[in-house]
Amino acid sequence: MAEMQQQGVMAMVKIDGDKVKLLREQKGLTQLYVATVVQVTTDTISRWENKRYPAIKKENGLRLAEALEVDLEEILKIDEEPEEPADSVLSSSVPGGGSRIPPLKSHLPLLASVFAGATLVIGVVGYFFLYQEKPFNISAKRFIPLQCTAGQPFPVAIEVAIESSGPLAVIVKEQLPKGMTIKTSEPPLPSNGPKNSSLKWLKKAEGKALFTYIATLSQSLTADQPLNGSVATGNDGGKSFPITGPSTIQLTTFHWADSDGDNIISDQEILTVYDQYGDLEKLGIDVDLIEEIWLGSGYRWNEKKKTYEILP
Amino acid sequence: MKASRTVTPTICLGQLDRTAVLVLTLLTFVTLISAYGAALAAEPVSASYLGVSGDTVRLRVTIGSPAPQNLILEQYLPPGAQMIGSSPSARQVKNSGVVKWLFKNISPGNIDVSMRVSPPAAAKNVGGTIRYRMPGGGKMQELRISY
Repeated sequence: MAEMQQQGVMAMVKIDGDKVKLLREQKGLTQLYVATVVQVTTDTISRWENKRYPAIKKENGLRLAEALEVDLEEILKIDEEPEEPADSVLSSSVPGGGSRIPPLKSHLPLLASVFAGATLVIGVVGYFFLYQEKPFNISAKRFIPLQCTAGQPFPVAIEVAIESSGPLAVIVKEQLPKGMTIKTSEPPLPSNGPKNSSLKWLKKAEGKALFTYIATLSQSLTADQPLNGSVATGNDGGKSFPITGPSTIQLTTFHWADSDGDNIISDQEILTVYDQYGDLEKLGIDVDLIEEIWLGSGYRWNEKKKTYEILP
Repeated sequence: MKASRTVTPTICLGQLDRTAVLVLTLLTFVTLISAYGAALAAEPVSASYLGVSGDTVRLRVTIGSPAPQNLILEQYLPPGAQMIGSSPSARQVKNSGVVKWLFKNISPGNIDVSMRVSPPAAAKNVGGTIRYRMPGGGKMQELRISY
């Protein structure tokens, strides 16, 4: 059995390093991509492939199989069965203890040839099947307000469009410029927050997927220091594509939802808020305030109180 | 020796007319079907008043597919009239007689709205518009509610 229980606590599985390496290379995946999906280091992937650590946690095994797009069973090491005595396989006796039929040994060259031929055919067919280009198309667009007020939270949404025959694992990265602080995000970020001033999400998705984060700014994001992000997938050798759309934002006294800066939130602006950024309430944005401004006759920024005041 | 006879194919004028009429009919049919399809695809939302009974005016907003994500409904009361209740509840009732609803995360289907008006006679003179952003492109659309 390739699966075992250690001290009744953690399920471990024995993986076949050669198979893992072969599958990874066949699918054109990098060790970095697989390591990211499994949430281990590239050194660990290397150790697993080189059989230096064949028993791994079943949880990691499942993630490894997911990264390689196969079932877990396909990467498990199959324990070798004890060989039966050659006679019991190659010959049998006639009931009554009479003469023996000719041993199978005499057919071995033929059987070996047939087996080799079948393997070759299966291999060639399998090669063309596996290496057929799976058509997919991926793009990402960023939505960001034109302006916001210093220290006030505003949303940034990255819409990833995936055209594929099934779900794809996508990695979205966003490099944060100086002066930008992240409050929350959906999907959530790791509890220790962004690393090295960059956001990174991994999600299996198809169709459209939205990655939204709430940030504050202490200085404007200009063309010299814009937001910079990319989207990548495990297919296509981990090639990444830049996130398109606006990447700068000006600090003003206008609310971020007031895109034309006329101190009111119009019907178009309120619809844009909900259409582009999704469920902002969940992310901690004060949507009641936005709706109150929309329903009122205007607003103004109170610098002393650091709040927006709604005009009756 | 057999005498040979040459037969020249001819189409009489009546036959030509019939062919032209048939082709024109088919072209018109195809054009109408295409235009109808394009109209359906272009307008994912339609709205009409279902009727007035007493002081209650009822309307239906029909959401097609793909549906816009969010939608604003505005009803305009005639001067001197006021709204005394609605289902679902309106988001805002202005003194100017404008009543607003904001429908979020909508999906294909119908949204039925009823509104009670005082005086009841004013129910027959209510008008309204729908506003939404086109799914995909995001272009703003405004639609008058028809009777």
